[in-house]
Amino acid sequence: MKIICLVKFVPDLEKIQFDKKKNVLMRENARLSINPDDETALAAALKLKEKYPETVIEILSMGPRSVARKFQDLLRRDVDKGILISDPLYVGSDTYATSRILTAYLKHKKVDWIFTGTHSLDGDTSHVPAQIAELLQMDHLNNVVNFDKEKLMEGTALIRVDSEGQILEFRMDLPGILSFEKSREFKMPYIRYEDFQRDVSDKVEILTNEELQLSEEEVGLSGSMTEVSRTFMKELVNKESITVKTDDEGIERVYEFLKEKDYI
Amino acid sequence: MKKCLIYVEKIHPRDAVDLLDAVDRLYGSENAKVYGFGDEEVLQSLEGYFDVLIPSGNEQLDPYNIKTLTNRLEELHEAFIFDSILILATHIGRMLAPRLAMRLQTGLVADITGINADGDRIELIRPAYSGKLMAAITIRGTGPMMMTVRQKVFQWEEKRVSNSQWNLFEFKDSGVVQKKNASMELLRSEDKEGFTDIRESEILVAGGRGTASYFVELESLAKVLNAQVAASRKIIDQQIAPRRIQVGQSGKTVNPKLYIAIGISGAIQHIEGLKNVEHVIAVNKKSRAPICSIADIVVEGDGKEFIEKLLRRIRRGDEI
Amino acid sequence: METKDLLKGLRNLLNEEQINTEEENLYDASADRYKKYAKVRRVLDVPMPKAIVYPNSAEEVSKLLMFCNENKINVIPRSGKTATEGGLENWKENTLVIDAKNLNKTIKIDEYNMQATVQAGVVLGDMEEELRKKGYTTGHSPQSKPVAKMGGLVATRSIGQLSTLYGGIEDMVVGLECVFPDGHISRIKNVSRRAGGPDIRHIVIGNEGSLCYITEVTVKLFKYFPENNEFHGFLVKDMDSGIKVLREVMVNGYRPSVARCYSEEDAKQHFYHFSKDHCVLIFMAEGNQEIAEATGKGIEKAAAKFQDSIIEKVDSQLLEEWFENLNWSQQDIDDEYEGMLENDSHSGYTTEVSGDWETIIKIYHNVMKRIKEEYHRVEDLTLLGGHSSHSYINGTNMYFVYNYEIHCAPEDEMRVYHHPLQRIIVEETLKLGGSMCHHHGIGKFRNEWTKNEHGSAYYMLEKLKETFDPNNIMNFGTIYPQKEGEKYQK
Repeated sequence: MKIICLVKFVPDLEKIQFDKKKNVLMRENARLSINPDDETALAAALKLKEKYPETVIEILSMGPRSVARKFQDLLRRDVDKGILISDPLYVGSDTYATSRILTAYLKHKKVDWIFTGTHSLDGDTSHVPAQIAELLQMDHLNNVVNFDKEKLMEGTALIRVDSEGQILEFRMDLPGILSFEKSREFKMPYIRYEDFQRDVSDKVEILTNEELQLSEEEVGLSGSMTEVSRTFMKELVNKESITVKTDDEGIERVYEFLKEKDYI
Repeated sequence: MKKCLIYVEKIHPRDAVDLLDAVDRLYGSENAKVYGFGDEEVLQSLEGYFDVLIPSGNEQLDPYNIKTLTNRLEELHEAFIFDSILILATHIGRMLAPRLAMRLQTGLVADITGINADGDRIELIRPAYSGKLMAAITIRGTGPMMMTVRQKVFQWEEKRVSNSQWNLFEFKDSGVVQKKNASMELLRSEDKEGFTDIRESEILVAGGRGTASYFVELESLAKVLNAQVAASRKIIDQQIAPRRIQVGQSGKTVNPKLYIAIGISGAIQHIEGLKNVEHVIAVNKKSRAPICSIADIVVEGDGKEFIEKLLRRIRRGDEI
Repeated sequence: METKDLLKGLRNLLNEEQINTEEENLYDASADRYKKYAKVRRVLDVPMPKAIVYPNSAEEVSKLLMFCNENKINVIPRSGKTATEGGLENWKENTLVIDAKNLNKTIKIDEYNMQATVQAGVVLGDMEEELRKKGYTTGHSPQSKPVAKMGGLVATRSIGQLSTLYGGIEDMVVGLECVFPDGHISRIKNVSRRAGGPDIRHIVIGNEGSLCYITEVTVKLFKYFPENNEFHGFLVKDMDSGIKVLREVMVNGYRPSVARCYSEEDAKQHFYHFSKDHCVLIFMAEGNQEIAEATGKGIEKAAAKFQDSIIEKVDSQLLEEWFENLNWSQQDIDDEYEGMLENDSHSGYTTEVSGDWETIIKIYHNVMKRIKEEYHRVEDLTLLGGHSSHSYINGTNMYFVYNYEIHCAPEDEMRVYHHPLQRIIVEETLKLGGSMCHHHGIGKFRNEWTKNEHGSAYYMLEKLKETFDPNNIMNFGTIYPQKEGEKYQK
């Protein structure tokens, strides 16, 4: 049984600051770490492998070369291989182009299940898994929180989904794509101290457009169907704190605040 | 005249009508011919809102049969060539829309919260980086322009036509029983029951040492705000509330949009449990308690009085 | 010695209710706050002691020590359990924990002569409360005050938050009573001062249970004037300037009870509501009215001298409130326990060093630089800072603090995080001639540097151990490095 986990590395939200003068997000200071939902997906795959050691798990990501180092901590767990698709041609790809690039790799691989996350901390569109599913003609489910391991190994997954106040249970035949929601059910296993420095570079493969052979029109901005024309901060003013009392005036002020911010 | 398709989900008919507001912002309601696609039963309740109603087929389509839905929507687009397709950003919508966009080889913008339309130049606004940043997106290519919209972002009340026109479209796979061949199937559903983890709540009403004598009252405020009750360590120490709602370094780390801290001084161990909170209202007898330095509104006074008065005000609602 | 024989021997010496072999208690006694995280997660790598005993008198302690000495049983002297450096950790299979729980009597409070005598198992917090009712204080205020007991406080050469005025425990102890492995009970009498040969109290104060067992302590009393407490606080440009202001206060003869300078990050966690990302300088003047006022004036004068480095004054009210909530309580400890069970985190670690005025700031910068450049998990650090909190006319301490996200198995946590950080701090300190252990004691986890710390004077420590504890039964691994114990350290 082969599972490919699609993982994305996203900047640490807390550290991100907005440069108001230049109107840009200062991403340089924010370090990249694995998107939490993707981490859950990988943890779920590893949990499966714990029970069924013959399972092969690969991680697939697209991004700058520097991301290859981040792979290492993931590979030091029981992950068999890590593939990083990286090419300057791909910079500026929206989800549409990204899905096509990833599919260019995936379509040649025999894969039983693809595990990935539902939400990403930066864009959070959830487009890529669904679009890859469309291109590969697979089924796909969002907000997966759990699944029956035995059934999954047999080729027919029983999947639990948390959606809109309900828990839904689905049957899905392989091959299929499961998009997980960050869950306390699946935690990444620890790397043991002895493994911290273990060299796993032989498990990493970096692929460029030379291997994937896509045309320039299919990738980057040219291959994208959407374009970010501009970005801006939602609240352009600094947080100004006001102090009120518990008299009618004060309570009214609080009420107005709650209404204004759509809490009521 | 622009042509617009709206997918009407079985359990969210009224929310689909709200998308007419988006259509209005895109083109002006009078410049658009809006098609609604969904189950016949559901469409019947939506007469007068859509120009054209297209029922999904002669049998009820499993809403989770996304592959078939994609096929049918593709057929519709081939037949009518829509300028835009709008889908609610529900669980189904978020799986359906990207598939359809890929099928139609067109652009899709997810979770839009605003529209800037200047003639043919249309910008779709959406949040990024957990709302820290807003992005304005334009669609490239020949269309159709596709977008998903969260519920309650737009609102629409009025009927647009005296009679909707029904189009009994014949789909290629009409009549073919879907369920047996489905590679994916919804087996059962149940309501999520019981306690929700405070980490999942958008609004938290938290009580600290100052609320020990009236901690139960926080629940009533939480209820009207659709919020959950949380507590600082001091309340847990006194066994007034269970540990699972303790916020702090040694308890849970929460990131609600709104945190109402009542009678909490704001010791660093508590504050460390708050990450990425958008708004804080601090209610405290001491307006200089440390927590007040991170609050949008500081309410100086008694917490119990605050809860009672605010409840009354909220229940009174909007009066002229 | 076989366990059953060990227990039999104990039963010959003590009553049944004085012997505790409950497995949970023994597990708890295997380690102290140093391995708090591993303990909570049930992955301790050390053996459990065979029993915990509660002697009722010094004579019983004597019999116990003789029994252990004869049978080569390791002894861990214990009172408040607040040790943070592995001083209470067990490295031997055959170990007996001797707990001072029943030695909890207050023997005498002598107001006229300003002395109080208590047994080793008396909680400092309780003692303070009693004294304050009468208008006195011990002046000793470590963060563990509500829980720590006198025996441990003396054995570790502890220091309190008000030490800059009152001194460390070594300045407060008058006389004491202790028991040696051969059973000998020594009483050092209470006198205000003497020149009767070397000051033998100092063999006991700070021995960390490696030489003897403390059973009774007499400390000085001070009059308590809380109404005269004055807080002075400033936001200051950087640590260098802050330390200079501290020095200015000290060298001009002032003795504030509290004199602290926090680095930016450390200040932010304590004073997020007013630090504004700067270093924070805090003083408290204490004592009788005239002295407190004069001290306050001295503080203001010192700050004025460096006014270019002072950004603004801090509201005293804010400082007072902060100070009131500084100490641990048993509930804090229990809550941290629950937190460590639930989350992959804890409230952080510390390494405290000391040096003279010139050296301490160099040590601070060297450590910060080296950690940022060298430490392999620097990305996991959520806090890295330091503060000076105990000053003397000729120097001060530096208390390094660091919190981190734990991204490893609980049993690896120390090796991945605290140890490498501690190593950097200790090495940089010893390099410049400072002391690697200002007030927490060497415990077991800095013993690899004990010889380096003492240099040629280690000879004296060594001889003490040879003489008083020739069979090496007293708290094996504490202070004195032991090859056998290395597996628990690395």
